Amino acid sequence: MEAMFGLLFIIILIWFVLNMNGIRAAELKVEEADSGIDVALTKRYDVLTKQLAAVREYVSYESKTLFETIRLRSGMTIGEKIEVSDKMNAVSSQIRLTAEQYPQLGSSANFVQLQNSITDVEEHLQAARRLYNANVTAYNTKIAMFPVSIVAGVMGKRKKQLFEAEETKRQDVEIKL
Amino acid sequence: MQLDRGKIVKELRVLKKTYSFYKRIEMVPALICAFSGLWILIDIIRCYKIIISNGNVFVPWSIVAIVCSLLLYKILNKIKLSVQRKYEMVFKRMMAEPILRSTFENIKYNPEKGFSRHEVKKMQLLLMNISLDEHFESEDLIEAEYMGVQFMQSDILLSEYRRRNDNYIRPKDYEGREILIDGRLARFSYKLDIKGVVQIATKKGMKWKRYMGKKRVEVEDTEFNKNFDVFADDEHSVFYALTPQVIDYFNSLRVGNKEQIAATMDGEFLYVLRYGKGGLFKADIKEEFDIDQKEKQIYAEIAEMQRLVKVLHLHKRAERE
Repeated sequence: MEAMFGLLFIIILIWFVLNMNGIRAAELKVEEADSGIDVALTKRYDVLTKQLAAVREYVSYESKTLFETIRLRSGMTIGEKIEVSDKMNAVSSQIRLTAEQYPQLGSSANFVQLQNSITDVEEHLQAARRLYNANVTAYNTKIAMFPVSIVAGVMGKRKKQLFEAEETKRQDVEIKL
Repeated sequence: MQLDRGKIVKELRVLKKTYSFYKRIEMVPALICAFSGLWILIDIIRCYKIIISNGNVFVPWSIVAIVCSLLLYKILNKIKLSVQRKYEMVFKRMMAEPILRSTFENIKYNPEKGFSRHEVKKMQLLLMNISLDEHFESEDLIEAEYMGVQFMQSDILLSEYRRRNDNYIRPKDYEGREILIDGRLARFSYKLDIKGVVQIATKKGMKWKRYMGKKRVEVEDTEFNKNFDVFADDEHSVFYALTPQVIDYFNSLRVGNKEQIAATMDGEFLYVLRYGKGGLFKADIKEEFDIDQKEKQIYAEIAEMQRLVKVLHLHKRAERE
């Protein structure tokens, strides 16, 4: 009888450890994807800096000020990253609109090259965002399902936030010349 | 595009009649060989009677007849196949090629050339349990440009003699080999900033998390994950390459369609293999030839090539380079 209880205890322990490792592995994937977003945001910031320098005399004062409020630092929360991404979207949209206003700017080789680079880094950011969200969804589903939720509760794990950029903010851009 | 329909139908009809003629007279040596056991038995009886009774020289006419029949059968079969080949060439030259030339500019078409086995191996297509070392044929190579995107397409046929231990009933080629792949392989210029390759293939029930050193990746689209396996060196590259438009495109290929698909992106090119429904330039001499239906089929295939370029925005990427 005691042997049976002992065996049962070992089985439960092994199950517990396996699920603990599974949750931790899922969490690590989320962290890895999170750092992918950091890399993409940094690249985007660098290219935007170059682009803004190229169009400085054309863009509005408000655009430059908005860009100066963007601060990238390590250890940002997802909420802060979403805010930074939205600000970059706004600056990027304003630069595009400015280029439409000034054809000589829009057709310059330097600007076109920078615009292509921006498109490229934006696509990478999209991919990083989607990968992050896919991993977060997998993680959130894992810790919500019974009986793994018991293990998650013991480990103190909570649902993570998705990276959802506020698309509507990109529409709210005024042209100021 | 105005085709000389009367001439095409007339030429193909003549070739079809020639083919049917040779197919009929091929039956004669085939029948002789089919009853070879009977002829040999007759000769054994004759041999016994001649040698035991008269001691005259015995000539095994059955063996002579069988050998001559086999030779005749081979010759007639070769002629039959050459007529079949000519039928296909007439169809390609008089029908398929003019339609292609009217659609694409700067097109090069070679009915006898295709991708080499080595080129197809380098594409790293996800063809599980299918080896490219089997019998390989590739022809009808098209090189053209559409909306600034360079592309190549060729029919490919992969077949083998070995009988596989699975439940699939496979069609056979003209030499009696089981056909593993009979389709179209296209290569599009598609520069992507990815690490390694991204491989996509129609799902075949494989559950492995890794295959040939690459890891299985699932995207956020459940429909896509249900229909396709994706393997890659890097997860981020999968999400970068498989944008929502690309995912929708692949999902649309599976709607009401039994074709198998294998695609690979290696950062320079996009390779798409579609097989299960034959090649673009196929005209079967054994089937009834419907010129209107064939014309529609060719235009549909061309439209599919064009759709891929537009839907995946390959032309926009080409503009950026």
